[in-house]
Amino acid sequence: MLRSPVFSRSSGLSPCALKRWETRVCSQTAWLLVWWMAWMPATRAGAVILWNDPDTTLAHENGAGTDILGGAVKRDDTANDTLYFKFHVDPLSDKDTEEYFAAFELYDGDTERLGIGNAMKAWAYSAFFHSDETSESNSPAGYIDLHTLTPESSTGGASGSYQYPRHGVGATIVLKIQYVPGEDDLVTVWLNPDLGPGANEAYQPEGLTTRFNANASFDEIRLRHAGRGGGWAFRDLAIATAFSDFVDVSSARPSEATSGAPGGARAFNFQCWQKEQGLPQSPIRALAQTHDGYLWIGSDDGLARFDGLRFVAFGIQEGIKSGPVSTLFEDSNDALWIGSADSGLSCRQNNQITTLTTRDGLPADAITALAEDSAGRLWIGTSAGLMLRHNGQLQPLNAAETFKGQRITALFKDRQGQMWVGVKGVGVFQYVNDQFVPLRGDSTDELLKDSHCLLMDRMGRIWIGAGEDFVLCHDGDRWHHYRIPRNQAKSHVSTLAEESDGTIWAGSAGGGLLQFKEGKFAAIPTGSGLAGNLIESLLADREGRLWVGTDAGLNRLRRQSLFTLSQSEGLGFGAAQGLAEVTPGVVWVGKPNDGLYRWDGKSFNRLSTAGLSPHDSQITALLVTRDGYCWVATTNSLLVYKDPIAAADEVKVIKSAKPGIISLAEDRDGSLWVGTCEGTIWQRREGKWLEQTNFYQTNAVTAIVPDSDGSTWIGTGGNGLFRLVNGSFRHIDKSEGLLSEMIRTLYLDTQDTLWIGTADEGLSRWRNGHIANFTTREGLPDNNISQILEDDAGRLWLGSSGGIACVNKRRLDELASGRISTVYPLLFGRAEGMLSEECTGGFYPAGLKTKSGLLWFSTLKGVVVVNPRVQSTSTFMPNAVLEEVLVDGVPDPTLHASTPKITRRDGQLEPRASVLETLRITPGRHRVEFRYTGLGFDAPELIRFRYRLEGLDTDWVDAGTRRTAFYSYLPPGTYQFRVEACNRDGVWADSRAGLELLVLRHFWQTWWFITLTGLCFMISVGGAVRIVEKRKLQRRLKHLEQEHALERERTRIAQDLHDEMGAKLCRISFLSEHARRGDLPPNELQDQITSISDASREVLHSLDEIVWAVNPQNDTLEHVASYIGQYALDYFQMTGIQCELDIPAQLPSYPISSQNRHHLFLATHEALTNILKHSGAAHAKISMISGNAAFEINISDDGRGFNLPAAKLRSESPATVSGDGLSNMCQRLADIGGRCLIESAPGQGTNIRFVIALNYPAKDV
Amino acid sequence: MISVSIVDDEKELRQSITTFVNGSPGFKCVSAYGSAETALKGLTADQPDVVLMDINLGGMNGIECVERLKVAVPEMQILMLTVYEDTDQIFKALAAGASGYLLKRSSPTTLLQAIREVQSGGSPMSSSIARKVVASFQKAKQTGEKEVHLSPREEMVLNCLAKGLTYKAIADQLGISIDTIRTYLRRIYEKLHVQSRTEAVAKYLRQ
Repeated sequence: MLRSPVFSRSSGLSPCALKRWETRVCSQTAWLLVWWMAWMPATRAGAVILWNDPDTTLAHENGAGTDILGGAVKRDDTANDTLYFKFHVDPLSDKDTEEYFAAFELYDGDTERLGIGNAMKAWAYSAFFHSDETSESNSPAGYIDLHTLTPESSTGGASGSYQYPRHGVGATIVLKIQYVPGEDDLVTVWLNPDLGPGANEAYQPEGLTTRFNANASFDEIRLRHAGRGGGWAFRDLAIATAFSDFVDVSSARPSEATSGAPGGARAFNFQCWQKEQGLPQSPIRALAQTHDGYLWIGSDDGLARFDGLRFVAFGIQEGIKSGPVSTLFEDSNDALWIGSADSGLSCRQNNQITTLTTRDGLPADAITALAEDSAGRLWIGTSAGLMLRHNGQLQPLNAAETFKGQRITALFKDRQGQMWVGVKGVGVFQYVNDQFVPLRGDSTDELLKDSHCLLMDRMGRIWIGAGEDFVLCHDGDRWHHYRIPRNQAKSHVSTLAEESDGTIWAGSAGGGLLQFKEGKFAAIPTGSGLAGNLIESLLADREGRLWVGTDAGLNRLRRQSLFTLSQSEGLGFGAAQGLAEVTPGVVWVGKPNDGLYRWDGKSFNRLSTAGLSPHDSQITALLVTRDGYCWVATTNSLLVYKDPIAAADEVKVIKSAKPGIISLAEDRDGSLWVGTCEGTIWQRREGKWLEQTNFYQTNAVTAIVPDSDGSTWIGTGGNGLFRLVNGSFRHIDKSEGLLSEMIRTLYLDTQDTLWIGTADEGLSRWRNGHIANFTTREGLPDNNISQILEDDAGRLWLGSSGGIACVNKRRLDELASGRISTVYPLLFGRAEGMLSEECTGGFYPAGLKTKSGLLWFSTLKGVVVVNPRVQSTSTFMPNAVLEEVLVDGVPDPTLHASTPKITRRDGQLEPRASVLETLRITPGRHRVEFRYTGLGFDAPELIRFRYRLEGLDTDWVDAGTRRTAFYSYLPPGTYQFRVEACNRDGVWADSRAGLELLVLRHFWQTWWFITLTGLCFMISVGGAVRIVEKRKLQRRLKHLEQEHALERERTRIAQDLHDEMGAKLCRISFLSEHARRGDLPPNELQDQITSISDASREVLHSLDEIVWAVNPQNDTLEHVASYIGQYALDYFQMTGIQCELDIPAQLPSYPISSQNRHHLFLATHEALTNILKHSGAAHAKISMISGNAAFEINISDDGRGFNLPAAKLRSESPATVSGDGLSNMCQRLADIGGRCLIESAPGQGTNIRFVIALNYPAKDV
Repeated sequence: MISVSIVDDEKELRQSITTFVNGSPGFKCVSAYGSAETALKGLTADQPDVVLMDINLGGMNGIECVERLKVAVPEMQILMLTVYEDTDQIFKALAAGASGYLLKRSSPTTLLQAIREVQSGGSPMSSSIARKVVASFQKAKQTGEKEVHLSPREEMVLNCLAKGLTYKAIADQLGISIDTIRTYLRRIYEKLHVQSRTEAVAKYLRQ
């Protein structure tokens, strides 16, 4: 039950206090009000439940009864407080038919004091008691019929206001006793009072209120029954100190039934997939979820697999016979069993399909049900009996012989591991100790013979869909029959399922989806999004949500996360601003331009109250202070409602000193703080207004938060943050790290952290003097934060201009410390049902957290209520699965959804260190594409992935919501591809989905080839360098040689000049000198001059030769030949020897160096000299022959010849310069690379041959 | 009396030869020029019988001078003087129109003899020169110029000369007189002139 400290009024009501109240008369209830106030001190201090007993207790013929209190509570004559009692009773017998006595009695020791129930003599609900004045014995004589709002029409015609207890009709009774010391206490009894949100004892209708005086001291409570009938069942007994403790605010929570009640269209939210969304075939006959997370859908055309976004059909190509699938089941070996309606049983394991038919031993080809027992045996139910499969073999079950030929309609393994079998025409059996024990129930046997589906829920109840429209529930030893509402001929319940929260769902073949609630099956209205009405399969997935397979599509039940309350709930148009919970379950909403509205759990009512004039309805802010008063700020005034329940009557209008109040707060001393839109701050203490005079700024004061240490935080709409400590203001603005100085709202949490919502820079956090900022860059949906609320799980709920965001405070801490760079808050916007995503702000308090933990946000179009407990931090980890690998656009056939081997341990899926498959890729340039998916159905489009190719990527690649990874080129090597998925909270599931890749190398990419080529390259480079160097050296050498040759030539020329001409010129000089002498005889003189003349001519001759030899123009064969020929002619001119020349007309233009010419010429000269001097010949012939490879000079004469060997001998002896010189000749020829051949014989002349090879290196450098 | 003119750029040599020629009976040196230009101007006026022209002259060289002179005074006999027996130059000079050549270092008697020969119409040719002439005519034949051709006799004479046979030997071999040989030679030279002139004209035209 609830505490309501708000109502702890320090002032109790006394007649003096009463007079202090300003009461306004409003119809007849006013007097009662006053009378109540006079008599009933409404002590609401610390409303507490002193004792309660919610269980059901049956009182049936128990005589004097037994005490159930056990001394928990007692009151005696001296008590002066007030106690409230409550109990609920379900009579099991009608008063009409039986006579009995039953009551809730207060006993004082053994003395009956007060009894509420059915007095002995009474027919209706009544109270009986002793008054002190009339002390009677045990049997109470007097009774008072309790007033009731549902009176019976008495047979006697006299309409009494009393109510008969009836079997099946429960009643709740609340009893209030105001203890008066020394006198009879004041007793008030309400029969079936209104205990809804906002209920108050003061406003209970008189029609159900009964008052009297009695002595109600007690120390025991007994529940008694005597007489006939089945007795009374009492439950929900409680003793409390305030009426509000019995008020049930759970109905103030907008539920599926209440929100959007008109039309009921939004009551249930179903996601729907049909052909348009990609669902391959319909109608759906079977649903199953495999261990990896995929949802398998069996329909009339085969099998399909769903991962949340994409449907993949499995048909004939994959080996599945295209027959209608009737049932799907995954066994503990992770094999998927597919039962078809006419072609046997198929098993899909490791991408292999095997099929069993009647040929393999199945009783029939029509498979109707599948289950697995705790021994690992697969139970196969067919249309002709039951078969087991164990260790790969089909085994019949002995005990199932009786079912041979019968249709097995259902198979189920319950939580204890027992197998349940439904057999058509026979019944429902439990397999115990190798026996089939039939389930029996009175009047249910017939129905049990026609069972369709079986379910055992977490509470151990067996649910059986049976018959035409029945659902049987076996609870312990009781049977319940539930009829489903049907509007069609055939609508038997074909499938049952239990949701994670325990809700039982039934699907009927024709009657749609039914929910078991409040003791009966209610159909889900057709407009709620269900695809079709013929439901043959239901499935509760691992996330706990319900999947519905219909004949026209697939549905999934979505939890309503958010409730919008607006016009259709009575809130009218427009924006809402201030929110305040005036009493648990009752919320006031202030709407500017529209006034105050009150929410009582079901709808809104507009409050027409005093103080709210039609013109002055600019309500800006609401605040409920600790004393229970509700302060309402309008543009011109401040209203205070001291009793918000009696809003219509009591309001005090306080004219504040300054108009334009937009923020209200209460500090720990109880004084009220008020901030205006002109920037002033006022404090109201003991009825007096004090202005904060040293607050100099003109921006609106948008938030005031008193801190626990006495300081006060003030947020302004443009001037940043202020902290008032001991009367002085400390200014915190951008210079201290605040990103924006336009503050919209403030929130101080229990860890002394101040959260600041700004208008343009998101959320800021002030802690210990440090400011951290969070904006859209870090993941917030919007930078305008107007409302900040915190739920009980430590998460901040931010109302912004772009919807509502829920972010864990721990994540923000991590963001501030830099460990993460982005947060992914839960977002709520139009997609979740908000009419307007813009939350209003600029006033304080903004947003509301009710006592029950619900969060209210005011938006531009009404109010949004969020139940944070439904948004539990999802611990569900989506499973990342690698589906396909495409190499150059072609999917690799050997890889099919390589899922990691996952072990099941205690129902938790744990990844086993798996051996990844290896994919070999041929060498060359390939594009590789990995297609993966994440299996989670809550918000599959929000599942985020990251992947990594080890060997190429250095770190995880954040893929966002993309489901492909693309690599355009992979160098040869081995790689490992891994992919992981993360849930909404941003925690990465440590999956082992992946693949090993081996990219083969071309032979030229292998290491040995590369090293070899590398070596070769290096060698060749080295070799090339060597060659180049060598050539350079050679060239240098040649150059040097040439230079050397030139030098030698110069030396030779110098030598020749010196030798030839030097000597001769010397001679000329001498001769001339001699001739100059005047004393020479004339003929001597003549001789001298002749000598001089001859000598000069000789010098000229020598010079001519030297010049010829040196002149490079003469470096050709032609020149040489011509010159030698001419020289020979000249040589023999005056000698008497006839010289003949034979020189070919054309000689190849072959260059001969001067050195060679010189040598050749000299050799020829030698030969000529020899002829002249030694041969004694008469004819000489110089002939030259030029061939391709050689050039020959033949010098022959017809002289006497000589002996060759003898000549050789002679030549070896030191020869004079002008001697035979044969060796000289040969030497000269050898010097120029030629040959000298001498042919001679005595008497036969001499033939000297000079042969010069024409290929002698004639390189021109 | 044979009138002789000297064209040589060396003053001492000019003087020496002038003195020597004047000193030899039957010879008279009428003029001496130091450059081809002055020679061209003067020789047309002088009209000596024989001109002794140095091949290497400053400015315009002797060969060109010969060409021009032969254009101006076709019947002038020019004897080229050269220090070295540079057959290329000599051949060019002969082709240009010179009648013979002489080495500067030749003995005076040789000089006078040569002058006398030239004046009488002889055209001395050495074997080297003969080879060159043969080659030149062969080249002309190859290029297809139909202007000048050597007659077979002339060719034979040339070949014998190239072989180094003396005039006498040639005369013996061919059964002709030495005069005939001389005539042949003269004609060969003329043809050579024509050929060379044709070449020059053609070259001029081509330019």
